[in-house]
Amino acid sequence: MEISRREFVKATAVALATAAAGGSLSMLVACSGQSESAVSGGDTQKYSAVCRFCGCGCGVICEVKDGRLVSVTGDPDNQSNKGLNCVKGYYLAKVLYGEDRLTTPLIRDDSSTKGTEGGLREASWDEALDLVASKLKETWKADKSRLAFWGSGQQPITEGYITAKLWKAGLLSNNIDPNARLCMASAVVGFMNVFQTDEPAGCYTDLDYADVFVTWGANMAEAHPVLYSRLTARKLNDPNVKHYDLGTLRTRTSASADKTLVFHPGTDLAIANCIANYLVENELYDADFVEDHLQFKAGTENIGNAYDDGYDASDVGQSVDKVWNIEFAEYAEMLKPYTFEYTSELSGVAVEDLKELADVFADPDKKVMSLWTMGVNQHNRGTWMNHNIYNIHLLSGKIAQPGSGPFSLTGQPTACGTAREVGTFSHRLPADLLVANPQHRRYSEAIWNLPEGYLDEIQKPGFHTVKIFREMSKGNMDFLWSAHNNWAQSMPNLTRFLGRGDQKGVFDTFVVVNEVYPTLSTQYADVVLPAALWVEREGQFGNAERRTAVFEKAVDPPGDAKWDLWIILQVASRVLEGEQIDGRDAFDTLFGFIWDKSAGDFKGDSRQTNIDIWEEYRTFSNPDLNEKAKAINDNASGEFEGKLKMEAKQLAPYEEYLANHGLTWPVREVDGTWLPTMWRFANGSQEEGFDEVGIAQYGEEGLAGGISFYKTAKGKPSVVFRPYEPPAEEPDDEYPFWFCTGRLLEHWHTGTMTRRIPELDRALPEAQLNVHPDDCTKLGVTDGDLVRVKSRHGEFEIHVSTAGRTEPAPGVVFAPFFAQETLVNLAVHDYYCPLSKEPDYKKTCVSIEKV
Amino acid sequence: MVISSLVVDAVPGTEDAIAQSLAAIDGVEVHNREENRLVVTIEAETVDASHAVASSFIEIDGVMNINLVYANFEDDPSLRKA
Repeated sequence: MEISRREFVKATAVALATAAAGGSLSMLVACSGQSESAVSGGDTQKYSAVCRFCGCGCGVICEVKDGRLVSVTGDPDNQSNKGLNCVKGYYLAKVLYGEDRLTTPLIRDDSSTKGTEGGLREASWDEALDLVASKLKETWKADKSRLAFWGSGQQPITEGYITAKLWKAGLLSNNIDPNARLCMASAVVGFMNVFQTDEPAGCYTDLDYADVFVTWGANMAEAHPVLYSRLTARKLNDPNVKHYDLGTLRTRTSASADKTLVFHPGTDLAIANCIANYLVENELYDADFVEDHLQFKAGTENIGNAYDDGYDASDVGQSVDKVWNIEFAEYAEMLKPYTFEYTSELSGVAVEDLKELADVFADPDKKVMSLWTMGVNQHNRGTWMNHNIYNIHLLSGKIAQPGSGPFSLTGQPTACGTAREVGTFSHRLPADLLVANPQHRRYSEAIWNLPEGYLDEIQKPGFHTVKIFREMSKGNMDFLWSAHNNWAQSMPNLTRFLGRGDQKGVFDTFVVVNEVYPTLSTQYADVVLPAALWVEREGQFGNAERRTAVFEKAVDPPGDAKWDLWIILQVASRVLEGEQIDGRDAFDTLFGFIWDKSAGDFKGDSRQTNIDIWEEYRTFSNPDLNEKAKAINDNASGEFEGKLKMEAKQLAPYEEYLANHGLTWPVREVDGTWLPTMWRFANGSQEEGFDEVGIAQYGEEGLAGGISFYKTAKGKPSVVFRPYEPPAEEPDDEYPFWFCTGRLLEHWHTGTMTRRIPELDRALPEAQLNVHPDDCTKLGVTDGDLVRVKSRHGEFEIHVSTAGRTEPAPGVVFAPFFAQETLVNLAVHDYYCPLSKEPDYKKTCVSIEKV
Repeated sequence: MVISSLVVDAVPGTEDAIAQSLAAIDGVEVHNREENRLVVTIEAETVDASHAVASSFIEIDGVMNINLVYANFEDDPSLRKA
C-alpha cells in the first residue's frame, strides 16, 4: 500500500470507529451500491451485505477493489447491529480466500474410499451434473422414500425457496429438511403450538429497554456477541437493570450476570413451572391479560424418549402432539406440586434464588426479556420448555411490548428466513403452511400454478433429519444431497451415522455434497459440487428479529465454483426432462420463469433472478397479488375452517430491502411507503414500529396491553401445562457424568470456515473437555491429561482442562464440537424431543477414564 | 499491513487504565473516547494477527465488549490471490 493510501485508510478507520462509537456512522458510510467509494477513496465499489456467521444477522458493507474484497465495515444502516460487528467480522474476508477452496467438481469412483482424505478425482460440470441427475432420477422413479435433501439455516432465501419447490412440487417428495432441525425446531413447534405463527413478537430493540434479562441455557456472550454487547450497554446505562443467567454450567455470560442459577440438567422445566405456580397461587399474574388473551390447555404426558427408530410410529409417538382445553383452575391445580421447596430440591437452585426470579415476573412494573437458544431447544423436552417460558411471560403479560418479551435467539444466519419462513422442513410449505392442511395445499397450488389437488400426494410429512440419517444407516437411503452444512461432523450419534464398524449405510448411499471447502462430509461424498460462497452471488438472510436483508454479489466465485441455485436448476432440468404437469412441461411450469432450458442458463442476471424468485415467494404473504390465492386466503368458497390471514407475514418488494438495508416483517404499505413492524400484535403507530395495519385488518382494539393476537386461533395464545419429565439418560454407575456440547466464540459450528484461519485456530487450537476440579480429583486426572469419554453410543479421546471457557458444575462436563480431530458427536446420543424431533446435544451420559 | 478500527466498551471509571493498557500493545493506538467507549486502531501484518490482538483485549480489566467497525485487508500477504 502506498503511504498516501495507507494514511487515508487509517484516517478512514478512525473516522468510522469514532462515528460508530457516537452513533453517527450513517453519514460516513452511505452505501450507494456500485458507486465510487466515499470511505477509502480511489477506484473501489461498495456493496451492502449481511455477516454470514451467527444468527444475529449483522449488516456489513463490503468494499471491492480490482475484483477482490478489500475491506468490511459494520453497516450503520442495518438496524440489527447499527455499525458494530464482533471480532468474527475479521474473517469475512478470510473465509473467501482460504487456500483450499473447492473450485472444481469432484467424483468418487470407489465408495470404499469413503471416510478417507483420498478417493476423489476432478471432473467436468457436465459429467458431475449428469451423474447426480441420473442417480436422483433413478432413485425417484424406483422408490421416492429412498431419497432426501438436507439443507440449512445458511441457505439464502431464494435458494431455499427454489430447492423446496423442486422437492415438494417437482419431485412430490417431503424428504427435505434443514440442519435448522438441529438448532431451533423446538422453538418453531413451541411458537406454532402457542401462537399458530412462527417467530418472536419482539425485536432486538427490546435489548435497549428491558429492566431484567433472563438467559435460559444460552451463552450469549460467545454465541451472540453483538446482541450481548447491546445487553451489557443497557445494564451500564441503568444500574437498576438486572441479568439472571440460568444454565447447567457457568459461561462467559455468567461472568457478567448479576446472578447465575446453576440447575441440574432438565430441571429448567420445573423452574419455569415453579415461577408460574408462584404467580398463580399468589394471584400475582396479570388478570386482565389472562382474561382477554389466554386459553389454557393440557397435553399428553409421560411421552418417554425416542430411543428406537420406531418411536414416531408408536402409540405414544403418535399422540405426543395431542392437547385439550382445561379451565384456569385446573391449570392452577397442575402447577401446585412445583413449590419452591420441591423445585429447589429437584434443581439444586436455592429457594431464595427461585423466589427472587419469580418476583421479577410478579412485578407489574418490570419489563422482562427472556433469551434462549440451544440449552432450551436441544432438550429432550425442548418444545415443552419453550412452552413453559411462554407460559410465565403470558401469565405476567410481559410480551409484545418494547423491552418486554420472550425472545427465541437463533444460531444460523437465516434459520428464520429460509428454514422457517420459506419452509424447507419435511412437514412444511412456504410461509408457515403445512403439507397436511388441504387449504394450505390449495393455496400453494394456486401460487405455483399447479392443478387443484396436485400436492395431495405430499400431504403426509416426510423424514425429519434424524429419521433421514437413521434410515440411511439402516441401508434404506439410496440418494442424499446436502448443501450449506457439514452433517458428518454436526449430526449426533456419528458412530452409527458414519457407519463406523459395519461400513454400511453411508457407504452404500449415493451422497452429493455442495461445498466450499473440504470437510468431513466431503470425505463421504460420491460427488462434491464446488459452490459460490457468501457475496460471490446475491442472496438474502432472515434473522431472529424477523429482519430480511439482502447481501449483494460483490465478487466472482473462484475457479469453476458455481451458485448453488445454478447447480439445483441444472440438476432439476435433467431430472424433470420429459415430465409433465397437467399436460405442460413440468420444468418450465415450475422454473421456466427464471431458467431458459435451451440455453441451459438463467434468463436474467443474478439480481433479476433473485427479484423474480422473490416476487413469486412474496405472493405467499401478499395474496392480493394472485386472484386464486386471494380467494383461498379469504375462504371465499366457505369450504375451509376460516381465513388464512397470510398477510400476517407480509413481505415487501425486493427493492425495498436493498434501499432500507433490511426490514422486519410484516412489512406494510402505508401511503406508498413500506414500513416494517418491530412489535407484532401491539397496537400503535406503524411508523413507530407497531402492528397498526395488522390489527386493523384482522385484530381487535381495546384489549389488555393494547395487544391483539390476530394470527392466533380465536385470538388467544395457549398456555399449555407441561410437567417436568427427566432427561432421556441419567447418570448411573457405568456412565456417571453428563456430557454437554456447544459453540465457542472463535469457532463457528463445525469450524469449516473459522478453523482455516491459523491465528484463530491458535487462539483456541483444540477442543478441550472442561471438568470441575473436584471431578478431576475423583478421576485422578489433571490439566492436559488425555481421557477417553465413552457413552452408550460411542467414544472419543480429548484433553482435560479445568481452566477452560466454561465452568461446569460437579458431575457435568463440556466440550465444543468444532474440532474434526476430536469428534465429540461420535458419543452424543440422537434422542430427540418427541414433538420437534430436535436432538438433545446437552445431556448424554458418559464415563471418563485416563488414557 | 492490515488496518482495522474498533470500539472497545469499558466499565465506567476504567477508561483511562484501559487506554493505557491498550496503547502499550504493539500496533494498537487509542484515538478517541465517546463516554465509556474507546476508539482504537490495530495495525498488524495479517487478518489473523489483527484478530489475535483484538481478542486479547478481553483480558484487560474493565473491558466489556470489543466491537469491530472496519477492517481493511487489501495488503494481507496471507490471503489467497483471486
